[in-house]
Amino acid sequence: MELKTFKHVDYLWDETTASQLAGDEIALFLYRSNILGTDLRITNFGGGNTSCRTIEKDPLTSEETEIMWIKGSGGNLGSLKRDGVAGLYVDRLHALKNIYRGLEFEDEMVQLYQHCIFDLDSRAPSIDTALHGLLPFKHIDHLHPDALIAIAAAKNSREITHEIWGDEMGWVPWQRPGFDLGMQLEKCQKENPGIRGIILGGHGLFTWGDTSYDSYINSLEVIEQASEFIEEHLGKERPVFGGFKIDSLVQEQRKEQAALLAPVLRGLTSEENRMIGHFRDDEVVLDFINSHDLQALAPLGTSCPDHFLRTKIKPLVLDLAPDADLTDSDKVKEQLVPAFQQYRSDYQAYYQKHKHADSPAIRDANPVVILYPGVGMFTFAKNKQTARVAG
Amino acid sequence: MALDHQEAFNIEYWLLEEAKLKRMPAEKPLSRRIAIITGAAGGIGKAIADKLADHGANVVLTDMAEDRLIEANSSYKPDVSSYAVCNVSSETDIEEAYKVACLEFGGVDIVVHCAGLAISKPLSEHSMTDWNLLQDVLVKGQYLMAQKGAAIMRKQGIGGDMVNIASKNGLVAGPNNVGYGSAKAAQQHMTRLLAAELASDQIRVNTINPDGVIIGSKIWEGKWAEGRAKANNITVEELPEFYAKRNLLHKIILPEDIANGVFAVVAILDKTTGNMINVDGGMATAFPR
Ligand SMILES: [Zn+2]
Repeated sequence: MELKTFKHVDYLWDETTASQLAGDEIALFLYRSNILGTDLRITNFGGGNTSCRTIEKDPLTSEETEIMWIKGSGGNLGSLKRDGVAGLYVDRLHALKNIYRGLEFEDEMVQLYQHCIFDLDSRAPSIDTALHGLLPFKHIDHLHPDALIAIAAAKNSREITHEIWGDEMGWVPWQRPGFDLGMQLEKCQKENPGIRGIILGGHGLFTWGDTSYDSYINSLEVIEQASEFIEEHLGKERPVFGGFKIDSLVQEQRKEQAALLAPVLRGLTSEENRMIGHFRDDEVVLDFINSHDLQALAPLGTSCPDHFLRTKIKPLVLDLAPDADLTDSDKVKEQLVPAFQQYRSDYQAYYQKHKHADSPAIRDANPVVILYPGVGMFTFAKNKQTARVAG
Repeated sequence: MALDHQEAFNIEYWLLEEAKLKRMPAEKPLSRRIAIITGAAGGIGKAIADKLADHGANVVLTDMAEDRLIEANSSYKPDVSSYAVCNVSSETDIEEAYKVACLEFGGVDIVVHCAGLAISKPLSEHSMTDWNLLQDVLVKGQYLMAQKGAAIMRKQGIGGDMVNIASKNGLVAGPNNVGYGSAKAAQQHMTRLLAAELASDQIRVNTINPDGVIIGSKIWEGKWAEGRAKANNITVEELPEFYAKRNLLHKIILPEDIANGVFAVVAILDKTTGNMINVDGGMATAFPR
């Protein structure tokens, strides 16, 4: 086997480990899932899902039937085990097309996935089940790689996709995952039988292969190509994020300011529920929060739906000089309180404006992501892990 | 491409997502809380950190030796703990440790002063070095932890807890114990003073008095154990049994028992402040009056 080299993702396939699993497609699919989930550039924590197919004997008819094994609801690819998987009849999933009633009835489909279960010890099938189930491949990866999201979320996402992969890559516009999106993926692949994957606008990537290894390499190559494209075009047309607006403090001062401010922010975000915080001031974060575009970009919210679920519609950008004197915390609080009040009332207005009759009650109205230009990004959530992945 | 607000709302408040949230396991009694524990690389301090972390808290371990801290820190799952090398008699060390708590977790809710050492000598043999060391670690350390910790708690404005690990010897005039006993008594009274002063900020301050924790306690290694054995006319090997027999319940007191005491005042006795709880198997001479 030729050794592949990748610059933007970790190639972790170990032939010795894999050869011990030879013949066991489920074990190989779990192995692939675990090494994919280890590299957070490949998919965010808890994001994405993978699947494989085997032929099993149907216990009711003794006939051979195709079963899809897919990461169940919740869980994380990096730690996916056999008990985190759902096993479903592929023919029954296809049969659901006959009774699907349309976009308004998406939620009832999730219940119907239960009726397609083959393995009685299955984890609950996830909302993405149909996205895999209606595609005709043995091994499928659905990932949210940073580089792909950048392309999937771009205004001219479809054109960029074509520029990078030509006719080898399908593209479907953003739509909330559900049965309909599954049918769109099926249609896209049927109309373009030669493609190696499909980009989901505003969301992420689907890639596949005949074997677990093929699927793994296909995913890595596509992410590598996307990363190269971004690297090449980074800041060419216009500086990334509109160029630097303000300069960062040096690292030691950033930490000093962040440590002084964190408890004040924690107090303010804990107004409804006590929160745990996380702080980041690496280059990627600083590039974004120091940019000219921040005021324009930040209110738009994040593009990737499952990321957005953790971050709320928009971050709170602090109107505070990087080197502001933070030693008098009462004064700092006084300065920040109006911005928090504004954020909370904006969130309440957003809820009131968009809620449906059966919507769940409004949740905590406080910001999750707080940006301090020149210093870094704070995130607050119910625990450290949730705060960390929101960032 | 940013999401249309209605579409964003539909995802955020999707009934299936709500169902997923409802299925999440219930939170633990100390989840969403941040504790800093001095002397936490081993013994009683580590047992306290374990207990608080088990019940959901994030823990910041402080101690003198980095290698022991790294080992202790690695015993927790990711996203639970952090550590700072800290000599509790150094104001800058303590400031740095709190900085770790603020950067890693956003602040602090629970301060446990457990760092300690014991010196048992008669007055005639007690040196100024002995005296200063005991005062520095036990008394000054507690004072500085409280002062810097309270400042952060006040910034947050969501209350807090301080637990000081003192000793039966702060209450009982044991043999050859002038330096240690005096320092422990100072810790106990500081608890009361701080409880009175910090109550308006909803910061509770309490004392746990361990006694006779031999197994797993660093204090009992070396000279102290010898001193105690000599003062009681027994051998070092006879100490655990001796200490168990000495208390009313005849129990051997373990580090986990002290940790249970801390958990009780922090997580259960939430209307208690300025108090002290003996965790010693029952010692009539140490009954607080
Ligand atoms: Zn997805």
